[in-house]
Amino acid sequence: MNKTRLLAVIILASILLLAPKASALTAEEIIERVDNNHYVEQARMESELVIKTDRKEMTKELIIYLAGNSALVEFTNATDKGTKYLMIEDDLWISFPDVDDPVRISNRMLEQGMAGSDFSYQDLMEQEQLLELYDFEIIDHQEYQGRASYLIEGVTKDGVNNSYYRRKLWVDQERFVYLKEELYSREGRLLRTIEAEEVEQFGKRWYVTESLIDYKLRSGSKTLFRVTGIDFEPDISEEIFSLQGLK
Amino acid sequence: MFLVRLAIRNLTRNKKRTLLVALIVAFGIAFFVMFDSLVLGLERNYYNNVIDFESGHLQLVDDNYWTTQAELPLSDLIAIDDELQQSLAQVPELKSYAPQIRFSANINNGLDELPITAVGVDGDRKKDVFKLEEHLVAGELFSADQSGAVLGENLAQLMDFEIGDYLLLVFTTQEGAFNTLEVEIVGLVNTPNPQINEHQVYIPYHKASTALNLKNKATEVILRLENNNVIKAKEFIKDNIIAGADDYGVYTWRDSAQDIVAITEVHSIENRIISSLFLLIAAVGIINVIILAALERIKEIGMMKAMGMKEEGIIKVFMIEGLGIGLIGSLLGSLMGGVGVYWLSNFGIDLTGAIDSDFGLPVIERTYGVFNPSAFTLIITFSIVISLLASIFPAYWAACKSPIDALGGTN
Repeated sequence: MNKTRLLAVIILASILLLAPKASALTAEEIIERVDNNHYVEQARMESELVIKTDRKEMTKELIIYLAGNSALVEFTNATDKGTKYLMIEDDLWISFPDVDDPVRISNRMLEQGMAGSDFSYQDLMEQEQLLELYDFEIIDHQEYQGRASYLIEGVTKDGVNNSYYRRKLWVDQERFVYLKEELYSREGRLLRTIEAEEVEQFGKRWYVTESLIDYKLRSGSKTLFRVTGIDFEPDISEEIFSLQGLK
Repeated sequence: MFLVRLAIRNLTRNKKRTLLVALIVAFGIAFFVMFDSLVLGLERNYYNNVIDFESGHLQLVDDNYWTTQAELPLSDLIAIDDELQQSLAQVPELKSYAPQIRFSANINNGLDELPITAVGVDGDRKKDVFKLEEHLVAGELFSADQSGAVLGENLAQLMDFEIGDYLLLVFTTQEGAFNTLEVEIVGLVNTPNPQINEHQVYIPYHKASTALNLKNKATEVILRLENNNVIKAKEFIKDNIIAGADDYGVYTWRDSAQDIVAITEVHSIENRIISSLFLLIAAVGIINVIILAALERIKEIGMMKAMGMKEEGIIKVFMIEGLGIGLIGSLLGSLMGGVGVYWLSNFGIDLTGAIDSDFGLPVIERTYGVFNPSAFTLIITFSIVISLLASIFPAYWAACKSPIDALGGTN
C-alpha cells in the first residue's frame, strides 16, 4: 500500500513538475508566432521616417509596397517627393524625379545609411522570415517595458546568407511581437538596436507600428520608423516592381 | 640660287610683317611641344601611380572579377595555395608578388562613418610591391605578423585620427553578414595618388581574410617586376601558371589604366586641334603676306616676266618666301618650345587645382614635362608643309599676271 501511495505521489509530482514544461513554447515556436505577426507577404504601408541627430530632426514620409521578395519605397514629403527605391531580389535601384533612368545601387553602397537614417540599404532588403535565417534559443525570461518577455538569441544557420550573424530579441509573451532587438556583427559587436515604441492589433495580428532604430556605431543619431497606415491585403499591380514602373 | 636670294631679299623688305606671321607659326609650334610635354608628364605620373600604388606591373585575377571589380565584389576570387605561390616565384624578372583582398568598408570613428576601400595585404610583401614606405609621413608599415592599419594622411585628418588611435571598419563578409574590425593605426602615408590618401585603408592580409571569411582566397595577386617588361612575364604566367585555369586572367597595368589612356588620347587630340588652329591662322597670314608681296611687287613681276622669267620661276620665288616664313617660324617656335619644355622638365608645374576639373587625371604631385623629340619633328614638318602649301595659291595668282597688265599697274 505504501508502495502504491509512493508511486502515486511520484507520478503526481512528475505531472505537476513536467506539465508546465511540456506546454511551454520552444524558441522556434515563439519565433514562428513572431514571424506570423511581423512577416508580411504583401502590404502597402504609409509611414514616416524621423531622423534625429544632435543638430536637427528630419521627417521623411514614404509609402512602402511589399510583395514577396520585392519592395518599392516612394518618398512623398516635399524635399524628397518622387524619389523611389526599388528592390527586386538582391538588387536595389534608386530613381529621382529629375533623372530619366533609375540608378542601380552598387553592392558596395548597401552598407550605407538609407537617406541618412540609421537603416542601411541592406536592412531594407531583408525580408525573410526569421525562422528561416537563425537557430534560436531561449536564454532568459525578463520583464521589458513592463511586459513579460522571452529573451531569445538567434545565430545564423549554417549555409544561410544573412546581414546580422547574431541577434537577440525580447519577445512579448502575450502578443508575440518583439519589444527590442539587438543586432550583432559576426565579430560580436552590437551594431543596431530596434525598440518597439508602439504595437497595434490588426484583426488577429499584432504589429509594431512605431520603432526606434539606433545605429550604435554612430553617436548622436537615432531613427524613428512610424507606420501611419497599413493595408495587409492591398491590390498591388506587379508592374510597380519593375524598372519601367520606376520611371 | 638666284631665286633663293631673291626670295630672301623679298622677305627682308618688310621685316615686321614677316616676323609677325612667323611668330604665329612659332606660337603654334611652342604650344604644341609644351602641351605635349605636359601631357606626357602627367601620363607618366599617373602610370607610375597606377603601378606603384594600385596594380603593380601585372595582376592575376579571375576574369569575372576583372569586369566587376569597380563594385569590389567578394566573389570570383583567386585561391592562394602553395602551388600557385611556388609558380609565381618563377615569373621572369619578378621583384615580388602579393595576394591582396580589396573590399568596400565604412571607416568609423564612433561619431561618423565614411565609405572607403579597405585593402588586406601581406605586410612584408607590400613594401616590395607598392611604394608606400617612401611616402610614409608618420609611424611605420605593419609587417607580415603584425596587426595595424595604414591609411592616407588626408583620410586620417578627416576622421580626426592619429597614430595609436583605433579605427573601426564596418563591412559585409562574403556571405553578406555585417562584420567589424577594430585596428590600431600604425602608419600614415601621403602619396602622389589621391585615391590612396583619401579613400584607402591597408590592413594585414590575414586579418582581412579572417574577418571576411574568405578561407585563403584573394581578390587579386599583384606582381611587381624588376623592370617594365610586362610582356615576357605575362606570357610566362599565361603559359605556365594559368594555362589550365580558364577563369583566371593576367592583366597589365595598362589594362588597369584604360580610362586614363582614353583621357590622354583625348588630350593629345585637343593639343593637335589647338595647334592646327594656330597653324591655320598662320597659313592665312602666309597667304596674306604673299598676296601683299605680290601686289606690292606687281610691276616688278611684270618686268621680270617681260625680261623672260617664266611663271614657274615666279611661283618658286613666292613659294620659297612661304617656306622661309615657315622655317623662321619653326626656328623661333623650336627655341620658344625648347625653353618651355626645359623649364617644364626641370621645374615642373603644380596642376593640383586644375587636374580634377580640366585634366581628369588623378595625380596630386608636381608635374614635370617630358622632352619628346618626335613632337618637335612632327610639328616642325607639319608647319613647313603648311607654309609651303599656303604660298602656292597666291604665288600662282601672282605668276599668272600678264606682263602688260602688271607693268600697267592693273590688278
